[in-house]
Amino acid sequence: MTTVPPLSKIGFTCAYTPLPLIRAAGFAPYRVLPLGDAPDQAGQWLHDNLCPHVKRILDRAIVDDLPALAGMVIVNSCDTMRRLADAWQRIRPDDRLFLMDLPTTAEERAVAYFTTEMERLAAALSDWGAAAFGDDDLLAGIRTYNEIASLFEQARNRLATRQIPMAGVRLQELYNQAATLPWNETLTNLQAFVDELAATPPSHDKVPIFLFGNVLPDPQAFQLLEESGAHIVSDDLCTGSRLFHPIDTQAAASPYHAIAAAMFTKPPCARTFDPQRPARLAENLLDRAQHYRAQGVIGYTLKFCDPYLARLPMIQQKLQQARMPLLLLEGDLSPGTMGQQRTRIEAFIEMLR
Amino acid sequence: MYYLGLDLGSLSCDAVLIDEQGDIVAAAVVPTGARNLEAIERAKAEVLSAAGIGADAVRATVSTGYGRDRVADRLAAVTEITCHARGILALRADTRVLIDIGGQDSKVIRIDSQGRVEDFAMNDKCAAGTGRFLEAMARALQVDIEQLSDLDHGAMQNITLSSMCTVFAESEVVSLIADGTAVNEIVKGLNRSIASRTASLVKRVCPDLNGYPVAMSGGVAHNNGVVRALGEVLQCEVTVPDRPDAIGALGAALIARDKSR
Repeated sequence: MTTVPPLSKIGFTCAYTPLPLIRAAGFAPYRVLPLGDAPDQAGQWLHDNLCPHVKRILDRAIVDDLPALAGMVIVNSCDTMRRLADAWQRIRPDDRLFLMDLPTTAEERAVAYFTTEMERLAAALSDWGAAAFGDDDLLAGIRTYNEIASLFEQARNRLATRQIPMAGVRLQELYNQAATLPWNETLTNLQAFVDELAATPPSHDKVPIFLFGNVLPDPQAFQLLEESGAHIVSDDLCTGSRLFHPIDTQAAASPYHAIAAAMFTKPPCARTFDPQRPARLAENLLDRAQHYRAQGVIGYTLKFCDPYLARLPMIQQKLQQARMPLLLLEGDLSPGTMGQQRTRIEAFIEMLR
Repeated sequence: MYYLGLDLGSLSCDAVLIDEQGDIVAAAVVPTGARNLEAIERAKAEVLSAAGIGADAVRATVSTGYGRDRVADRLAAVTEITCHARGILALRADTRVLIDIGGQDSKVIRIDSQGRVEDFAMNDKCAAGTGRFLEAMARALQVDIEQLSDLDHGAMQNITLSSMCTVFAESEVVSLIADGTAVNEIVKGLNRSIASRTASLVKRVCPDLNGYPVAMSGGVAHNNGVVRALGEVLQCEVTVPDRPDAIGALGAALIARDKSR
């Protein structure tokens, strides 16, 4: 019996990273999640009033709480991510780092620009030791990525009507796995979860809640939500559903173009603006909350995230017009932050019962 | 049979015992202190003794407050927000906006005509503008907290305290004392600071009060100066029920009765 050697890992930090490209180049994408016990030292390099997501990632880099990485891809998705790239190079000067530009507006010329950025990344990956790869390899990477995206979607659709204990915790663990472990492991575990949900009779003991925000990867946060009586039917989070969204290759000029187009048509992070539909983020959240039959929406945003702060008034207005109850929480990813929010979450659930 | 509501707050543990009709049979407020389990037992013993009944006459207990999960033998633990809404409904059924300022947090609750919570807002993590804040200011002014209630009488100036952080506000108060500012002026400034901070919470859940009846509960509702300042800032009458610090426990007792039926 032969053992397949594990793929070298490429680190990433943002849901706009083109994962199928990294996979096609023969690497395993590894998301540096803001989890773990790395001591809080990022303040030595970045201002304290910066996004806790980026600071926690930097904390991990400072104490080398990372697996061996063949390279690091940081998407210039917001100013804080840009600063992360600067700090990373100072702290780990020997790491290979690729800073990838991401246009702010969702429009055709942005797709064209991001396509060229991906071609630039492909060249960097070749420099970092990728085996020669072509469009067929990229299409294969997209297929596996789409399989994962499809299974996550099936899981979310089933969670709209089926409640099993700690379903939200388990789904988040699967999101984290999909971002950090080899994709074949994710596929197996995800399929088992979907099958288990399929075999579960419909139930409605807990209050169905749609969750949105930027970064919330800690399964314990989902445990708190569930213990407070919430059943998370679906989410719009960078560390949740936004990382795996189907890529349509049929109409695209090339696989690169297909990935780039998908980046700007998937549910947007607050940092992406659609000039044709300024309210797209808010409309999308409401549509999805209604699609998954949520009774209420909980928004969890990190402190100092200016893009979300700017979008929240529109989201509040849109949900209010639709009479969709909303609870906004703000945190900093430190242990216990969610615990301090417990009374708000429980009261919100009591209000919806 | 009787029903017990226990509100384990950061400063006080409140107990209310009601009968089948929902009438208050006994109520007690004891300091929480460092050992909250003992505070629960003391508050419970006080109401049972006052009512002249044994623990076996209590059909159900509902707990609330930050320590709600610490209460043993409870039928349910319910948040302060739901309990305060239920409690005020029993005493002032027309209330649509309830301001509750307790020991370490403040809340504003919008209530529908059935006593259901429509929306709510809470202060952030710090205790600015709460009972703890007033305790610190009373200490800085070297007066009892109860005395603060009417110390603003006769104040003519509109002193503004620039910081609501308890630590910085305390040093600001010390500076004002050093400058020779009259105590009543400082107290009025403190009351206005609390009122304007609370008003921003009110605006979050009810942007236009539009004649909605507003009531206040929680220990700080005993402070007439704060209630007056709130009325001025919100430009409406803020009513205070009897025993405003026991509204949460009353709501808990009523929920215990409702759930037992």
